[in-house]
Amino acid sequence: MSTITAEDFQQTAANALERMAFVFTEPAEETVGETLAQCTTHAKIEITGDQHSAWVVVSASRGFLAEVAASMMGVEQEEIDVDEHAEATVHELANVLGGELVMAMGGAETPLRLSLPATLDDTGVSEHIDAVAAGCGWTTVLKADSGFLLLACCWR
Amino acid sequence: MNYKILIVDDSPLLRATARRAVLQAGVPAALVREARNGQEALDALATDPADVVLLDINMPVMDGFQFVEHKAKLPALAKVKVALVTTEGNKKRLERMTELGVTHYLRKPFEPEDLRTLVAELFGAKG
Repeated sequence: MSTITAEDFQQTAANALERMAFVFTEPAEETVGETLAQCTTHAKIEITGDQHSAWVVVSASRGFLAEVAASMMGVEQEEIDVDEHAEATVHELANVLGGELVMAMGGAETPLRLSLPATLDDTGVSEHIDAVAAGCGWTTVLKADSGFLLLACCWR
Repeated sequence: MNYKILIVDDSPLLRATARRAVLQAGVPAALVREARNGQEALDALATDPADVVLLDINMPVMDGFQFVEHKAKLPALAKVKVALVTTEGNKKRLERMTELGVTHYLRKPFEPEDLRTLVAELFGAKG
């Protein structure tokens, strides 16, 4: 688990976003605080196993969520009601990226369980970011034309 | 393609994505149904069996594994083909699903074309 770096997972996430929604991202120069100020919807997913456990928090801005939802549903971005689709979109992002982390943790051979995604409010996200800052994992920020995606990962 | 399809996923986004792929494959919209979990899927199949089920694993109420285990005990659903569309990648769990009759598997994240190919393969395999 300690070999999964923020840079590795950043690339994994970028590849996943490209595959699932044709959303092209690059590492962002913005800080976690700057990004979080623009993110409106957040979800957490947990991974449990006999040897390791982990969680991933996914936060996204409205524009980013609109781009992902529109692409997956095959409609124009302007046709997406972000308020209606934001939570489902961030949950699916958490589900897919959590699944990618499971595989990176050796989930193909090791029985690891992925929880259902759970919505976090702003306070909940801040608490998880604080936990990462205390040393349990890493954060990384991806940027697309439409907005930002913040990922925070922690394991024990 | 007059096949009855049941899309089982708790994500409305994924259901919409799958529905689009199925419609693009030529299935009439009236033959495509959706369920949000395994229990809803079993209920839907009890009233009107489908030809193909596109099944997520990680769902509330009844997950995809439980659905497949229940379905395997129901002779009336023996001809219903099941394809997993899921983040699941554990080899032993997938082998168990194959033993219980799952014939196809597509791991998330996938490209839309991958899903269209899966649907085409399912129709080709439907006999």
